[in-house]
Amino acid sequence: MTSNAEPEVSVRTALLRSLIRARHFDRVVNKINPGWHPATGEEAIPVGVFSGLRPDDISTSHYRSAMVASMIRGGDVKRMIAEVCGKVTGTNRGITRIDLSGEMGENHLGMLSGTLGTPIGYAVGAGLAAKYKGEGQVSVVTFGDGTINSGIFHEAMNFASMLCLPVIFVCQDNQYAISLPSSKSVAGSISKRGAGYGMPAIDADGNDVFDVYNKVQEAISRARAGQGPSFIHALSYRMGGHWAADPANYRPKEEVEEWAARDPIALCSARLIAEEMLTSDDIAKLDEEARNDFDSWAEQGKADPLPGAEEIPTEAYAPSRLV
Amino acid sequence: MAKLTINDAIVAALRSEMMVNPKIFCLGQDIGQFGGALQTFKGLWAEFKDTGRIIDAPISEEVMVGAGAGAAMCGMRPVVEIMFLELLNLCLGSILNEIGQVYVKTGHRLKVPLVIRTKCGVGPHRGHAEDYHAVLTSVPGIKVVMPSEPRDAMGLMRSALREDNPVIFLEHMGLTHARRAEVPDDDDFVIPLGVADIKRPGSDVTIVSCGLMVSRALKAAEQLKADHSIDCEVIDLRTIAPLDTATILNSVKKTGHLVITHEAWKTGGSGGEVAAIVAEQGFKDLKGPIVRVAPPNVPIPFSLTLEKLFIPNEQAIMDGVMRSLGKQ
Repeated sequence: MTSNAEPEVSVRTALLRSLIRARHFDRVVNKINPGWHPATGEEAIPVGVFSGLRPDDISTSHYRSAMVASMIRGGDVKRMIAEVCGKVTGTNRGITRIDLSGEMGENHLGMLSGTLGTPIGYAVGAGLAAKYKGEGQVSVVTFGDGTINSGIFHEAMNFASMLCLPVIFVCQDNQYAISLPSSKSVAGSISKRGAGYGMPAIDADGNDVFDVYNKVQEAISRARAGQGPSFIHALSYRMGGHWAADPANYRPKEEVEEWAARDPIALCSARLIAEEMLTSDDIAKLDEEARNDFDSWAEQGKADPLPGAEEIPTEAYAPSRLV
Repeated sequence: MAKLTINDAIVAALRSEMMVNPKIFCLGQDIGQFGGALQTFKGLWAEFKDTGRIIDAPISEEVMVGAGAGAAMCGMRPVVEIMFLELLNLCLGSILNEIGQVYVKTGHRLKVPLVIRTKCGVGPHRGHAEDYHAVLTSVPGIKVVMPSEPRDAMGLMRSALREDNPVIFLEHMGLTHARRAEVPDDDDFVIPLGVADIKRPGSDVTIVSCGLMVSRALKAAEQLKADHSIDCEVIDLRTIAPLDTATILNSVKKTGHLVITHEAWKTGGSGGEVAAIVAEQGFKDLKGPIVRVAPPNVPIPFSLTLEKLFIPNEQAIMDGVMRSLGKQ
């Protein structure tokens, strides 16, 4: 189900570049911490969803791909990798488990604990703030096929629809909640859940970055025009385990092979080569550049100094301000 | 100076801040035309309905708090009303795990200026009484406020609305529509969060209290003075988190005896934290055992007769004072 209108050439090249960089980002981070959660095979979703936002739009990401989302929104990758290493040169000087949220700031929110679904609430609040500001901002949020069974997903969909908020809900369906396949855990159709809350519900090919991008852009246009929220179900597949070192031996080999043949980077590359926008040499160069960047940032992160005791916060509260 | 109830004082503070700060909006169940359960938003609908700043929420506490926090991180100043404290337990995931930690965990780039109003305490309504404040005070980054009288309620609410941290504002159902008292007419009258108030100075025993227990402690103090010439100092915490440790320690330094009373269960209650602080930092000043006067760790009984026996009354506080003096 690929959309007809294609993004411009420069956008399409940028999307491929981001896909490649997303994979290298995951590669180095999960080598540093094999207990964390790679999104190999799912890169087309965060890349397609969060590219093409206005600088003042708010992105809120699922934990898997959060740093990729943050990178796309302008987060400092080198510092995020140093934060992953727990170093004083990191985003928050070694304070934050950054893979769950990326670099949070004015235009990017995320999860600060292991509680699935909290970002959906924040994204709805960002949409509410955007509505009050009245400057056409939108709020875009991703979450997994596991999280759509949590209460907050349903509360948030109803709430955003009831108040006609400019929120784009994207289900990053990688078909597994740790070991439980969505075919078993989700009753009914995922996309119909969107329709049930009175908003446009759109299926996207989660391995086709252009399709994800186009469908999100259409939803953004509706939201900016005051037409309220949309729900996008982007179907992909988690090529790795729940965490990097998870052998994921709970799923059939044939299933993994079938999806390996639909690798989002290979698909996107093939399209751009077939349409003579890029050569395979160009793409190899993008890959090499990304490999070098991420390897050097990882090496730097590992070599950087550890935080000293003085980095432990002495105060959790922001300063009070009574005037 | 107008004479207002606690509820009226809170609404007055909210109203005056909404007039000057367009970033404040209110989200809660039945807070629109209905005025809020127990009229907690009395009159605000008529005044603000055309601005869209009073939102009637569905029964979706988790997203109400999540959206409040998200809007706060995006520069708004939301007031979310969770009708009763027992319902706040539905959204503890974001409150305990994340909302109080945003400021530190984002390297001070984001703040959460969110006020959560909620009601608890035994009162005329015979329900929703459970005081779970201890759950909230055990995690960093959240301020927990509980006024005991109208003037404090007004000043504390105004501070909460100007605060850059998440504040959980506990409104006691036995007090909120109780007696009226004078409040300042000044629209900038504030009481800083984190500052306790000595409601009755005294020299013999310190009683640390909050909420409904303040008036009971004051009555107990008068009785002890009359019957036994024991002069109690009654501290109203007003803010349960962060605790005003200086006021507590200074008082114990003077009296040498400490009684702590609250309506929350004794086990794991915030009174335990007060006791621990005094034991750690004021041990040399203590002349007797620290005594906690709080309900036992069992469910609150429904029957009014039992409820009255369950929640500490003046006699229980007086007995506690005598125990702290080694006289019982």
